[in-house]
Amino acid sequence: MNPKTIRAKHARSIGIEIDHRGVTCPEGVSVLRAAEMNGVYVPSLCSHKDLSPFGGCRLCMVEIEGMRGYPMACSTIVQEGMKVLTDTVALREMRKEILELILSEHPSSCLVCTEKDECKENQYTIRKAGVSTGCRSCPNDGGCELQNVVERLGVTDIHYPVYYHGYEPGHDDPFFDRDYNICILCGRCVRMCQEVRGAGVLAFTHRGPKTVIGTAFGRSHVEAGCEFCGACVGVCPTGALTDKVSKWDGQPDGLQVSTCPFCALGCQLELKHRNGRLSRAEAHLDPEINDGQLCVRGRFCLPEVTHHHERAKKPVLKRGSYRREVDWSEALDEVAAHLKGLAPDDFLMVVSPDLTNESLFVAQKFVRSILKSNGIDSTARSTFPGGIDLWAKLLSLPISIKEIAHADTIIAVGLDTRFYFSIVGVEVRRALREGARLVTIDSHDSNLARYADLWLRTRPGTEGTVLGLLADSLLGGSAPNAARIAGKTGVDREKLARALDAVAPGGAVAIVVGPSAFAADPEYRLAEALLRLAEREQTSFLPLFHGSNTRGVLELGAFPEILPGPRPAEGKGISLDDLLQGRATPKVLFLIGEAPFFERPSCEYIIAQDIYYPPFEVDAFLPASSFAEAEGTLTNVEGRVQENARIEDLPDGALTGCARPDWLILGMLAERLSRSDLLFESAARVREQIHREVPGFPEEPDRRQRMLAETGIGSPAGRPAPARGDARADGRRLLVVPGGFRHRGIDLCGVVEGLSELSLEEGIRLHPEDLAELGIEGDGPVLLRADGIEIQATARADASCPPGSIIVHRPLACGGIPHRKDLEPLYRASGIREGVLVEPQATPEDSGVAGRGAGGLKAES
Amino acid sequence: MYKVVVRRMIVPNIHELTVEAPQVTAAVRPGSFVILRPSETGERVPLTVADWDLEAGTVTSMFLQVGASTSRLARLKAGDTIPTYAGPLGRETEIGDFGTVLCVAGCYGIGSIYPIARALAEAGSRVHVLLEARSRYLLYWQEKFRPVCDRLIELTRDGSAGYRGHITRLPEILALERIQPDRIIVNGCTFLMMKTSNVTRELGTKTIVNMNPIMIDGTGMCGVCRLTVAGRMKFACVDGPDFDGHEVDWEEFLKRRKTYNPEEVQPLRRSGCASHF
Repeated sequence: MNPKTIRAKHARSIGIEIDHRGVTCPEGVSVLRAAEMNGVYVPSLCSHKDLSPFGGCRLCMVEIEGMRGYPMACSTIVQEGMKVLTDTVALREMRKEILELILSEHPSSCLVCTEKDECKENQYTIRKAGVSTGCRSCPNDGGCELQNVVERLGVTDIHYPVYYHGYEPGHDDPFFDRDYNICILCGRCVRMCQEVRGAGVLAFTHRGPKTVIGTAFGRSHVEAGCEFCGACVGVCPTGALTDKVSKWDGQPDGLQVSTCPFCALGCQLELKHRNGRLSRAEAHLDPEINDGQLCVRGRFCLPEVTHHHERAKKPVLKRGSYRREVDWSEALDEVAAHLKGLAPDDFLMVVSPDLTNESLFVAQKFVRSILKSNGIDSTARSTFPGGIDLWAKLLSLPISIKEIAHADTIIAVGLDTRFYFSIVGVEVRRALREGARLVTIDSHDSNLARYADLWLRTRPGTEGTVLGLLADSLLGGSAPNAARIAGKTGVDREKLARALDAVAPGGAVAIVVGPSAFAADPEYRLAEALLRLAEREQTSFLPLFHGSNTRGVLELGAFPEILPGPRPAEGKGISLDDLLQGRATPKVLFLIGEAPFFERPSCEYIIAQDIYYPPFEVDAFLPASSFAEAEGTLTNVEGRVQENARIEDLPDGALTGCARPDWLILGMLAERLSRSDLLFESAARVREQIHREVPGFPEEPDRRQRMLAETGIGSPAGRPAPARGDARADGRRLLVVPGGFRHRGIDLCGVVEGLSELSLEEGIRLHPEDLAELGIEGDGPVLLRADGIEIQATARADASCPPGSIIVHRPLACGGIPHRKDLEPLYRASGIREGVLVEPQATPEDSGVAGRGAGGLKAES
Repeated sequence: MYKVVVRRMIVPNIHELTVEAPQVTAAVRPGSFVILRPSETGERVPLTVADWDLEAGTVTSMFLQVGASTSRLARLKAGDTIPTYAGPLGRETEIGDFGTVLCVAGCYGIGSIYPIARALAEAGSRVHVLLEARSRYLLYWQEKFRPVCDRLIELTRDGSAGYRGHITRLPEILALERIQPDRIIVNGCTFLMMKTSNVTRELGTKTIVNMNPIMIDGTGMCGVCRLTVAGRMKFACVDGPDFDGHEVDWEEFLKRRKTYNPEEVQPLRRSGCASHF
């Protein structure tokens, strides 16, 4: 919740008079807000509840007894006994005049056209126009605040000369289009970008009549550091900012609040639909998590993911060398026949950490009670370095997102919130505005480092050691040897001392740790430091991981070694690791929303159930419903069981396909295997069953925070030593950290065009100075040698990389982008490798994807 | 491959496209159209010819950016090439000395009516031109029209240039301007052509409209451009595109034009900038 709102809530109530009527309002609010609270309409185009008053549109002028002239209601604070007039003849005249001036520089011929209603019948063909020249060709037609004000003030004519600026429309950045010919310079986008998001990408540029919204030096939004959170699009009162995908739909005809299916924060969305189809996602004003803010994925990617033309629509069976679309009963019969009479160790089901709780529960039940196997695993494991038990412990810490905004001291480790977990960044900045201190511990440069009081740049993999030192200080323990730690971690000694001073006052402390920091923490020191800090009061944690329902996977026991609860399982089935490392190969492999291979593994029969086809040939494919087509719940990092609402409920058809929810497909399969008790009527029935079997799991979606019960399985024995490469003293440190944007089995960059234009993280990256040392200027081909593998690839120069290290971002999903296959051997590993040699490559290998920074790879026997 | 000589946004959303195509230039007539493709994988787009230059071997058309293919066209730069530029197609507009002719044009029609006005003037007709737009910044080529017409009348919805209002004011404007046309020729959006035909029916003036249906091959094979004129089925590509506006079944025509709206929007629903406009 906005601190300002909190203050307003607890403020004293005062009495004022609006339009001769005595009303009350909280002390400290603006006259505009007081009028709004008492149901009095005062027109305004530039004010916004989350933003500071601006007084730009001048429409909210009022008369206040004892005050000279016509003060702005948005920037005048109420005072006891104030007498306000909002609707006098003079005000009406002036407002009309001001509005006409605004309209004279806005394509507004439709507003004053006498045929506007008849014209609407032709609207469909006009709305696809690339540039809006009037309301009928504007994507915001019907949802426009300017239209509303024109109607309320009754303006039917413009007496001023019409002026069209003729700015080139901005289409050259992903996700949203900009046409500043329509802009009325209300400045909401600028204030949103600066005040709430803290990104500071947008500003007023130029002066006087040439004033226009833009980025510094006219750079592209990508270059200017835009987060593509869409907050500016959300507050634009006109159609100047519109999102590229849904602008064509026209105004939505309904909305439903749902949970974002893309990450573990579980932001609340308003999913807007038209004619029963998902049209756009906007942020819900949910004070618990995201409070009206989103990240690029939640704001812009949902419609494209669910309506992409490659979306799988029908069941498919392999028939010889062909693939044939079949109906459900044929597909299910065949799959059931292959599952019948299978030995427990002949089967492995891999489930995605993006599945709903209901689907996860039915999946593990299906494996355990029908196939009598523990062969169920999830790639969630790879985001849990240190093992499941360690993570169960971390998830039983007091985890909170909103506590960040109330913290006095924030420690952020290995996190860049530009595209990942953006909401955390918004909360951090909110706390900073209220006077909090921020210390970032990161081997990488990050967007948070820009706001930090101190950025402790460590050697990769030693973040945990530094956090441990700060933890000791916060816990008031014995004076740690800062000098020794500075030497070990490469942090500047004086900076470390200043960091200790910065955290010394303590107070409410929030600690945020990003997934890449966990992945590159070979000795689990990060987790250890976090667990130690659990003893401290007034401390909140936010350990972040990939996968939107990874916590649900843990709680509902979709791992071979744990059962729902979570509690330890008896006897172990085949695990995904067994298959990946070649220790065991199941006869039948069942992939649900998951494709952790580039090539078909050597199983006899492979079933894939997903919203897109996997990148390799399978024997049976079952089309699953997307988040928009199936109801369910997702458990966020804090343990809130949040509802994933069903938006689309259209009959099967050529366009809509015939996808089914994951839990229902498994239920239908179970029925064919003579077990009708797994065929549930609805997701709510599944939840009832989970509630009965899993202690603490709510029967209905419940947004209260819950700590996870400990698993009771042992921690991994001892600390593994970091993998040594050829162990050359002159070698560098190679970091393989998970990255990319994943949903179920696909990499979102493969279906969301805008994301692929942002995928700045692919391939191999080195600090420009390191590359210069190798004689490479800018990007260039290199040869990596480690552990008998030789990799030729284009290394990208990236100033945010820690000097002396090589960074590889390992995509979380294999589906989507084919060229990534080239770097596969690196993707199998995660974490840190020492002593890796890097040499300039004389003959650049043209991999055809040089722009993306990937390259060819050869494995030596 | 055909070289693009000029591609520029002449007024908001309307682009001028000049292409080097000497074979087309040699045969082109007022009212002809060409079919082009923005790229090898693009769909075919019919555009009425707005001007041509015999010496340079170029043909100029105006197009409205209103979908995926025209958006691709709008991304072309001078020097780029396009794979297809077929024409001239369709029957030319009937030219002759018809007495007084009023040319009504809006949108891309302002471009395509220009050669018609010029040819009519050359053939001895007295030509008046009425240009219609939402606002004054959407009007163009006035300086090209002035030498070929007697009177240039402007009509804008917001009154920012010339008369204020829409074509429904035509009888009133004609009275004020003291013009009694023997023939009216309309080029532009369907709405304008339909509205003009409706008002001129009462005036009893012969009205020629330049129809703009969805079209694929442009040679009478596919039948996609069919429309009903005087109760009979016609193909706009080979029987037209000029028809008598009083005989066109406008209701059916509008319906046919809207048939593929959902599909037409589909390729635009993409978040990337490279494919977008």
